[in-house]
Amino acid sequence: MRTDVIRRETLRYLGLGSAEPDSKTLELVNKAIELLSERCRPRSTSRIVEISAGTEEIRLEGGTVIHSESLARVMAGCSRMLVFGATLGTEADILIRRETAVNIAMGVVMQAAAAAYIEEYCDDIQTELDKRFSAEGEPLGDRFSPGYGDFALEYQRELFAILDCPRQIGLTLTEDFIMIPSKSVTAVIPIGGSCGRQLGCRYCEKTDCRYRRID
Amino acid sequence: MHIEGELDLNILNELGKKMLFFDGGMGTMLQAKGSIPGEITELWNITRPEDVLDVHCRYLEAGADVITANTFGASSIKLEGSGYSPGAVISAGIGLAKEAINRVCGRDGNRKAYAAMDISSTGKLLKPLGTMDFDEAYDLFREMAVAGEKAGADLVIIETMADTYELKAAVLAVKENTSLPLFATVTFDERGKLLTGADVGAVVTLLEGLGVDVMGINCGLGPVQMRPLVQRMLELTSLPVLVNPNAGLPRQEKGKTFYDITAEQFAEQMELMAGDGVWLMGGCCGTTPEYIRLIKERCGDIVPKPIERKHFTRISSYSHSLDFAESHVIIGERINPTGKSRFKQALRDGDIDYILSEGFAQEEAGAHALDVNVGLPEIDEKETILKVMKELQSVIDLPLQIDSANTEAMEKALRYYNGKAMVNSVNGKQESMAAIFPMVKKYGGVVVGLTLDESGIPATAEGRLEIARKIVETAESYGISRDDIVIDVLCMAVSADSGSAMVTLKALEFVKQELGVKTSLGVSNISFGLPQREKINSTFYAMALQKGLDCAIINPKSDAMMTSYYAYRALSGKDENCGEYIEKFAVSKDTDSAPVSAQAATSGAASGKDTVSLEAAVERGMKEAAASVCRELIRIKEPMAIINETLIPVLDKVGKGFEQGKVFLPQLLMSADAAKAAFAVIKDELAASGQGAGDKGTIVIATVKGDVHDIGKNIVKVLLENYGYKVIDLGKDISPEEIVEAARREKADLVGLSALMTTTVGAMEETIVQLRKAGLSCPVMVGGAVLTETYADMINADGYVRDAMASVYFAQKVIK
Repeated sequence: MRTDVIRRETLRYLGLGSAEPDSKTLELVNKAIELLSERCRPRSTSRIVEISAGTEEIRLEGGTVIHSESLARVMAGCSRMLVFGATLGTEADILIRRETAVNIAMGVVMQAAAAAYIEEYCDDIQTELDKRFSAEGEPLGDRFSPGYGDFALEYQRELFAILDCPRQIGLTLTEDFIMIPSKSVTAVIPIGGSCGRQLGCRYCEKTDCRYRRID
Repeated sequence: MHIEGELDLNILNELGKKMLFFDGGMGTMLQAKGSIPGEITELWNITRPEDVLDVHCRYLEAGADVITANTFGASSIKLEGSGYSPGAVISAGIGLAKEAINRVCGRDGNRKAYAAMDISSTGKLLKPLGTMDFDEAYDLFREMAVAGEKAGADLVIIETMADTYELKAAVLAVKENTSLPLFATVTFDERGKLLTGADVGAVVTLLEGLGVDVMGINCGLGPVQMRPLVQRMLELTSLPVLVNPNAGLPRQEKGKTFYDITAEQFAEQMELMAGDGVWLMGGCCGTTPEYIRLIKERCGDIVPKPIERKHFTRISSYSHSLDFAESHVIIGERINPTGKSRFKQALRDGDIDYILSEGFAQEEAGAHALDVNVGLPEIDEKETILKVMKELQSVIDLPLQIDSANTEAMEKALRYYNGKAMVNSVNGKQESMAAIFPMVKKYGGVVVGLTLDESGIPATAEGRLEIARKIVETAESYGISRDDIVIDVLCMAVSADSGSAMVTLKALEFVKQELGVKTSLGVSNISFGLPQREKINSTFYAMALQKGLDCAIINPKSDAMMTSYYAYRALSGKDENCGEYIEKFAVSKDTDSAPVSAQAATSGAASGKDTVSLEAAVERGMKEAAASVCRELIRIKEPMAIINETLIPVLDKVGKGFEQGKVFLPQLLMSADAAKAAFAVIKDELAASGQGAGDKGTIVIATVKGDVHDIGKNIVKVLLENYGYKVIDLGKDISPEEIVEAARREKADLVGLSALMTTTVGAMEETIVQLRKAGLSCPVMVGGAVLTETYADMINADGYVRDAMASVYFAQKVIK
């Protein structure tokens, strides 16, 4: 885990962008990252699923169909995808709740740091997975999550069933498609295919987003 | 000739007489038969019964004594939309297990085998971390358990549980609604914790308290990684232990999952665990009939190691257990409204954050457990204790002591407590014992017994010993072990009777010697009526520790008391190399009571100066300094003048800076926190002098139903409070009905609603509809990541607030 990346991203989530943080903010951010690495037990799980990609939908083995043009673009040329899930666990939510009750500034910093932490954790895992798949000649593309583009949140239900998230990593889904613990990620990742890795937000149509990131 | 019914099919009668064997993985076998990821394989009981039957038969042929029916996730929540009910799936599942037993064991008239009803997690997290109610989980489990018993299951196994709270709901559901033997096994990770954080001690303490028949560990790990955890469990429990590991750790190859231990290696490890004292064993993911055949071959003739009765006094929280033998237990007394006007106010306003902060502060100060008392004449104690306890227990690591004279509140609290609680208290009156002991027996608990009865508190040590004896013996008649009793021989004010301290100490000594139970004291009563009470309390505390006191209810934030504690432990040889003492006192920490050093430490800009103005402290986000300066200032300036002339202007200034992008969110909030600390000083002052805080208006805020994101709402709360509004924070995942109720009850001037997800904005709209339908005319402001001005208009909100400062401006606009 690259602490400098987590720190940079935390500050970005807090709205500092490229602004130089003051020493007290920096102190809170460092403390939050320290607490998270001390207490959290991040976990992940993944599973390969055979697919056939059309232009407006992709079909999964077992018959599930996901209607999404943006996902179809990501999966173009792929016959398999990786379904992926990761979570920081309940510890992160507890830390956020605790800090919020005592000290709202630290609560907000903790919230941002935990968001940055799970992203970095996913990047780490994905890099590891990519090594394995690349060795077999099929590098992974970017992860793509329900909620991106027109990939509807409702498909969380399918991803959760495929991964058995509650049992495998303790990640649960509410009726309103909210993931609990809150600092969690689910995604699908193209295996091979033509899309390649394009880190950043370029899939997203919300071009005026203040957090938009194009590296 | 075998005639069914001649065999004794109560598995409990076989425990310990011979090793008993469970089956192996069901999912693994069904995958081999072609199940696909995400499929609800419990439906195979109906759609592909021959396949399920075949798996059961193969395990029986391999030698299993217990086969686990294919009912693992057959809850109504998982089966929703499948077209099948839990009753149908479970009845078919148990039927197949019994049919397999008839087929395989019917050939041999003497072979017994048992069909276990299998129950596992709902796949949801319980409130307040998640959105499922404890009762909702209970109902799902009850439906399953009842169907299992009706279908003829011989026992229930609750397995692969990863959360103690859900586990408790499942255990209660089975015990209260069936008469089947109950086994419960949980899943630890490689760090020895459940997904939601419990260690082995927490699980053992909870399950023994609830009275399951067998406990154990399954899934998650292979036998090698599981063994140390199993050994820990055996060290702690007096119950039989069941172990069902995976076939090692999983690895993925070409999209398939493999486990890294062969059947031979598996059996070798299981033999070691039989030697450790495990009585029942089988397998979980990745194990097959071959694994079961080999463990039976290797361990079948082992004579189960007799269980030694352990004597622990333990309570537990969601994360760990507390052993009274390991420390002189400090129970923090601060969550209690008696004599604390600010705390009373927090209870009346439902200000959970304030109560949580009291808990965290005591935890930091060194408390091992927290007493929770919310008794106030004007509030509903039953409702309040549940609310406070549920919040506390989900975020505070420490076990809780439920402190209530209201037996109904006590019963509810014990039922919904996530762990094994301390119960404060029972006494020698028949009525008290008859009310409290059945609850302790049912839910588990360590109960504090006060040595008083119908005739009052005996004046002599001998008299108190007799009541203690009566309490202990009566408890035992209810099946409560004396390990679960802590006697409080009571201390009376030494100012009223100069012999009272000595009577207490003598009684303490008697109780320890004669009854061999643990002891507790509410130490501070001793100094009632005297000046500088801490001086008496801390000395008396040390004296009581010397007489063998195990547990004290004290204020852990008191330096004098904690000094007695650490000094006593160092002097009595309980603190090896005086390590705890040195850690505590070698470097004195900056505290609120040392404002000057705190200022220097928190303010780079003010270095070299001994004082800083309140404006500067708030602007720079110096929390301790803001409080201490305010404490000074309040002696010479009117509270309201401090608010209007100092605090509000500086908050305005910081808020403007935030608007203009010169001040960033963390800085805005550090200022808000510093201002909050100053306001707390002012509120204390006003409360002490019996004045209200002079609220500018009442604002009810909530995160709407279905949504659990509350950070934005919490920011809004802090800022609005700083601007002098009374904020009633209902929390997250709040139904429209609750919001309407609160808005009406509090006569809200404004309602603030937050939602972060597109999927929960609907609940926001519904809330506004219901507020209007109820005839409430107060304005409604809405905020949250996915909201826009247009959307706010569309759902008929009165205002869209893009950030926390905007909510302040909106409140100022609409509340005159």
